[in-house]
Amino acid sequence: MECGIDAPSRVKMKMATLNIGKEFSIDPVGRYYSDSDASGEKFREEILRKKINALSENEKLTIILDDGVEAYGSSFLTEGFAGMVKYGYITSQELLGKIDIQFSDEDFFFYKEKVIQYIKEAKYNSEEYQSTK
Amino acid sequence: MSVLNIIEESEQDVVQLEQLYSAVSEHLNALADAVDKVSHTITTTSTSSVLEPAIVVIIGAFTAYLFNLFHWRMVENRKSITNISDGLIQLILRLEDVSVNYWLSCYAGGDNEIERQVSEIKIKSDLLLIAKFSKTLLNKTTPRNNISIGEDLENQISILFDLATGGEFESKTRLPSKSNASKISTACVKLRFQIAELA
Repeated sequence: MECGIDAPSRVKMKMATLNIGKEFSIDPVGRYYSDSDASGEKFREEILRKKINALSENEKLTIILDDGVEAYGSSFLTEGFAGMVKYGYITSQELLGKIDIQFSDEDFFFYKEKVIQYIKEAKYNSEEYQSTK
Repeated sequence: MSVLNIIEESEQDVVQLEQLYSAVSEHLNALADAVDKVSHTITTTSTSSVLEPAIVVIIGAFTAYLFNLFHWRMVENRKSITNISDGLIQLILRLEDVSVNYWLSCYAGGDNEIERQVSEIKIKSDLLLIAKFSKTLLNKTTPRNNISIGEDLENQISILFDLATGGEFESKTRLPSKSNASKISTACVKLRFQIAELA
């Protein structure tokens, strides 16, 4: 009986983690689909948005920045994270409340701060999304 | 690579310095205990006319030793700060060179694909290293009650990151942008100036 209750919650906890290096790419590059196979647009549309939508009410998405990834550019981070707000998928406040950015390499604290800054600065629903695919 | 070596060596110097300082401190404590014991022994066994000059000499020598120790430590710390700031300035110069060239170049035709990727990798890694070693420098130089100096430096690095890797960075169809190249160059000069001021 206990196993029956615990098993689904364990599965749910696994779904609430997004390891960019393992689940997306170790080489995230560029803003749009046309820039690379691992662009910010692809990350947002095919990974982050789906993960955020799959969260239950009080669940958070832990995003691991550094597992295999060497570095990020502003173009990727802006499109990948702030694009969620810019295209009206979610407000800045809601998005910041639903994600928890983690890293083991202390140097990646810089990227965490930038992601938070980009999300805060993004204007909700300020542009209509048109895929560049 | 040599810039990295300079910074890493200076960090190692600091670690060794701290270990050495710790060892010297232990010896100093032992020396102070010994002086106390000698002083106690003398006071209980000799007359005060012999005792007072001896104590004055011991205390004088001990004070001079302490002064030399702290002066030496300050000199070493200053040397370490200079090494880190010199390394940082070299890194910023390299970033300026690579990123200004990158933003002035046209890769839209698909030519120089490798050169474009090399530049993008260098720009991203240099920025990450600049952010990392600026923190190291700030930890060594900024007084805890003056956080605005640190915030100004971090803001400038943040601005530089946005300029150098924002917009159409890593786009295969990006056209040259003289305006952005110019902004990057200005931001790099500002950052170098801030670091020179800190050091």
